[in-house]
Amino acid sequence: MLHLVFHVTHYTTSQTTAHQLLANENLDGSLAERRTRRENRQLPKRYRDVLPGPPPPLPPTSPHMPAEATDAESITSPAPTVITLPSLDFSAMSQGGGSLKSTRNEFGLFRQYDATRFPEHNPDGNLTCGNIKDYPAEGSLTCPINYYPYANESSFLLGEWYWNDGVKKSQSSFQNLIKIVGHPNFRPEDVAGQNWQKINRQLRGDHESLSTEEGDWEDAEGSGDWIQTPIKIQVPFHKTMLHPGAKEFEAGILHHRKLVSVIREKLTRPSTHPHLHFEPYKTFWQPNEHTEPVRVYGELYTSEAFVEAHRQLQGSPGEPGCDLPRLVAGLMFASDGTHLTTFSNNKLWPVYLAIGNESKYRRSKPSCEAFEHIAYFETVGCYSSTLTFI
Amino acid sequence: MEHIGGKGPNGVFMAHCHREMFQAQWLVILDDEFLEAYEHGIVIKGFDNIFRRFYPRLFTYSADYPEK
Repeated sequence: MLHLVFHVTHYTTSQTTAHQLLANENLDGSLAERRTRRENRQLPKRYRDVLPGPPPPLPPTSPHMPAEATDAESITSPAPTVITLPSLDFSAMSQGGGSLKSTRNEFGLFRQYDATRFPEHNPDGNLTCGNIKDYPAEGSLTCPINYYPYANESSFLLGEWYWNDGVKKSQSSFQNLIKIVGHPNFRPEDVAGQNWQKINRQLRGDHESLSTEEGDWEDAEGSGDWIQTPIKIQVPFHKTMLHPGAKEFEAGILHHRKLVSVIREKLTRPSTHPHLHFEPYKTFWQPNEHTEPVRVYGELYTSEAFVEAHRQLQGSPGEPGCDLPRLVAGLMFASDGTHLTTFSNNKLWPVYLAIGNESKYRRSKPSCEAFEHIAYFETVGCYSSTLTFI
Repeated sequence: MEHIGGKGPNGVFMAHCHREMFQAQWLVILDDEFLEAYEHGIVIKGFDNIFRRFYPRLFTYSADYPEK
C-alpha cells in the first residue's frame, strides 16, 4: 500500500514541472525558435583562430634602440595590437648546458640561445600587428599624405581648383574657391612663396627642364648603382664544321648591382635594421611543464642551417685585431622569369635578394620593400642578333 | 650560320648555351668583392651606432624550372 502512494506522489510532481515549463516558454514563437539550443557554440578547436594576446612583460628596451625607429613605426601602425611571438623575458631566464632559455609565452613557445647572454638587440620587443599586416589598423589613418608635387594640402587644393574646376570663371567655380580659402584648415602661409611654375612643370612631366634646373630627380640616386657587364660564353662547334672547336661569343649584357653594396645598404637601412635578427635561436613548443619540448621551425634565423653557420663562424679564427661581434647575414636569392605584357613576348628575368635575418612576416609584406633587385638575367636567343663573333 | 653548316642548333646545343650563359652571369654577380666579404666579412655600422662584422652566407635560392 505504501508503495502505491509513493508512485502517485511522484506522478503529480512531474506533472507540475511540465506545466511550469510550458508556462515559462514563449508560445508565440515557432517550434524551431522554441527548441532549446546551446548559446555559446564554438567552432571545433582545430578551426578556431586564436587571436594573439599580450606577451609577458618585457624589460626596458636596449639603450641602443633608437627612438626614431619606434616613432616611424607608430606612424604606420597607429593602433598597435601587440602580437605574441616567443618573446624574451629577461627576468626569468633559465640557464643550463651552455644555452639560455626564455620563458614560455601563452602558446607554450620559448626561445633557446646557444650563448652566454641574451642579445641586446631584440627585434620582436616592439613588434605589433601593424608590423606584420599590410593594411592600416582600423579607424584612423594618420599616415602623412604626400601631395607631391604640391608642398602641402592648401597648395594642392588651390592647384586642383586651378586645373580641374573648368576653363572659364563662373559663379559656382568662385564659390568653390571661397570654400577652399574659407576653410579653417586653409593656411595662407602654406600657399605663399610656392614655385607654381615649377610645380606645373612637374605635373606636365617635364623631366628635362627639371634635371637641368634642380637635379633632384628621384630615381637618380637609386639607379646609379646599376652596372652593365657584357657576358661572354664559349660556344662549341662540331669537328665536321667549317671552324671546329670552341669560340667565344658575347651573348648579352647583364644588368646587375654590386652584391656587397646591396647587402650593406640593406643592413643599414633605418626602416629595416631594428627588425633584423642577428643571433639565431631555436624555437621550442612546450604546452606544459610535463611534456618534452618540440622544435618549431618557421624562420631562417631559427633554422638549423643558420644556427650551424653562426656556430661555425664563432668558432673560426676571425680577423686579426678585430673584436667586433661576428654575425651571419643570411642571403636568400630568388629568380623567376616574368612576362611584361599579356600579348607580347617581352620578358624579364629578375633576380631578387632578401635577407634571412628579417622575419618572413616582413619579407612577404610588399610595403616593407624587403626584396632587392640584384640583376636581370639575359637569355641566349636561338638566332639572337646579340650572338656575334668577337 | 655558316659555322653550323646551315642547320639550326639542336636542343642539346642550346641547353649547353643556356647553361653556360646562366653560370657566366652568376659568376659576374658573385664577384671578387663578394668573395672577399664572404671570407673576411664586412664591417657595417648599424642604425643603432654599433659596429658589427657581417659574413654573408647563401641559404636559399628559389627558382622555378626555366621556361623554354
